Amino acid sequence: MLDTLASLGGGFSDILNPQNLLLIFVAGLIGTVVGALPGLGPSAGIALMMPLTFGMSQTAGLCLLTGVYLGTMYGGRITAILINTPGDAPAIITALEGYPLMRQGRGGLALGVSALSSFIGGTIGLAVLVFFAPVVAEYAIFLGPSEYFLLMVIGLSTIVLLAGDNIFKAVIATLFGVLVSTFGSDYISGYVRFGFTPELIEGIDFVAIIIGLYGLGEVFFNLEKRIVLNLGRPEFRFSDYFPDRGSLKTSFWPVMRGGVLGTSVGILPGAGATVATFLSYALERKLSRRPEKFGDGAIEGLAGPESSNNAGVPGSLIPLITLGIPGSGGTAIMLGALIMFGMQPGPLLMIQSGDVVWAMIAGLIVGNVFLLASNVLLIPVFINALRLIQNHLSSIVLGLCVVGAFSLNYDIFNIWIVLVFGAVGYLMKKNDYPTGPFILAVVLAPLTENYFRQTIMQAQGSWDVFVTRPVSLGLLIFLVLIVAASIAKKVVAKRRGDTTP
Amino acid sequence: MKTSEIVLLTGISIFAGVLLFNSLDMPFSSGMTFGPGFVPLIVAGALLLTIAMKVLHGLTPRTSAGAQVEMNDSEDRVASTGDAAPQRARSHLHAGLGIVGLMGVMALAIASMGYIGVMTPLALLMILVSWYFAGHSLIRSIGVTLLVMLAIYGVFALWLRIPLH
Repeated sequence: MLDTLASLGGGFSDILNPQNLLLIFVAGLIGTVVGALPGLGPSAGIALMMPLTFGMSQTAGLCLLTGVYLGTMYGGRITAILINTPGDAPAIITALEGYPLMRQGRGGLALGVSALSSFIGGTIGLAVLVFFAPVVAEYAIFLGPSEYFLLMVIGLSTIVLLAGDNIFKAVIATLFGVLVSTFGSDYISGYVRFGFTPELIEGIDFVAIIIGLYGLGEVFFNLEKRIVLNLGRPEFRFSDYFPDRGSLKTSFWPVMRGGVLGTSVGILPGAGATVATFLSYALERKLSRRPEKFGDGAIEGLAGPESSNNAGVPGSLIPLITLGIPGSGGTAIMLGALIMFGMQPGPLLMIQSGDVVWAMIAGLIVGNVFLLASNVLLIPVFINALRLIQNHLSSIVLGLCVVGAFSLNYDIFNIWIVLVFGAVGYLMKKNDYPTGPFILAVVLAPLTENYFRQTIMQAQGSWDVFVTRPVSLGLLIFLVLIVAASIAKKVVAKRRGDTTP
Repeated sequence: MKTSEIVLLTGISIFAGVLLFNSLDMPFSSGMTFGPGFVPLIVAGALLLTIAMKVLHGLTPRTSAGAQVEMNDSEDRVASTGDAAPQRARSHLHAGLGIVGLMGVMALAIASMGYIGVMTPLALLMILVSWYFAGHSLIRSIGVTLLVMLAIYGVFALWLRIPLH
């Protein structure tokens, strides 16, 4: 413990100079702006900044890149809350609870709660990264495809909570999402499924789907219903933008739980942060005294997943730093950056380049504090900018959706995808089909399928593997308990309803 | 069922049908595990079955209480009661057709982007949305669109170097 603190202190002494502090601050701001643009996420942000690091020292370069990475996580929630256009999968829950708050004229509160939750979640994640990274990584490598498969199934089980009242509609949305996810190369066999056009060989870009489904779908719906925002004139009363004591009290435990969940599940490669966000949402809804408020702007439904999302950033860095395994697009580019700086990612990284890694971790801690301050101070700017453009929001969001889709890989094809899923989103919203199950299926179904097939392949066709491996068995029992509890709760509720006169 | 729901379910059914047909050519199993055709075939079949059940469920006569709930849920049916019903129904239809028209215009704009770049068709589309659909004056629509396009060009093309034109 003392060694760890001494190493961290050494990292701080490396970065605490005006040049590096300014660099981290600017990197966080740039990350926030890039993350707020539809279609651009951590991968794009880090890739854009990479050329700037060529002439820098290792410490300064890594501070810049990690600052951008963290900043994009903060920025991603802004468009999700303000214009219902999430930039990545974890931000879907942010849109689900944050956008209704914005429509109620409480967008400032939503941004404030989300910034604070992101900060605390990020801090919990960083604490785990600093003190427990080697231990966590040691256990993480014992997880095989069977455990990953069951974790994905647990993630998918949250569909029940996102389903709404009509079971047919939820099942149709889920199965439709699974089918959409089957496009492109099959990772196990290399077989190209439904490659009707060359662009489809890589599958349908998930970000284009969410831009269409949420962003453009919302534009079509609002234009048809002639819905216009009425947020009033621009104002600069700071009290409107900071969470009050009640909101802070409501969000305290969800944030703590989300932070722990986000760090532990965020370590998993692939969709760790997404699964953690949805699990956090499910958990908060289960624990809430007013679950009926979820979907209409529940503070705890926003705070928990936001904390979970940002806790996943340091969480995803744990396997990268300790094992050299990138868990997401952003960390994959970070891996490239580490190699570019002449470092060797993997178990020897902390031994050979410990000073640089500790400086990078110190930079993340400082960046997290800067980002809280800058994001809270920028809330009035974001809200008043929205007030200025609220009458023209439909055309502006349409413009951002088109440009965001094009930016994914500089291709018109993704704009077609946005149009198609814009129409789907509009029709789903018009007919009360839940979009949550659809999007969760799109994200998790391919991973679930791959892990399942890998498991069966490794076990040479046997299904015993799910009960012979201890962690796998534990997860299976947990899954059965979740399903049993859900069914029991519904049966009890139905009986109570039947006996009530 | 509302017309828009019929359109949605028909579209999803065609999509599932095409994928089901194509997945018949894919290996259902490979070696000791499932093949690439396993998930699409099963899921497409299940989706078509669920849609059929949903349609049948929608056509089944309901009890009076259930029918009342259904009527309250559906805008179309609400629109079909009362004195102003025909006018409201026409208004809904007009608005719905307007969105279909907008989707058509957007498709044309996207098709033209391959020849003349993203910026010009997008600007025209934004002006149309602002002027015709959002009800702003033409001058105001053009002015706001130009400002937004300038901002988009500055951020995406100049700063991020994304080739928008």
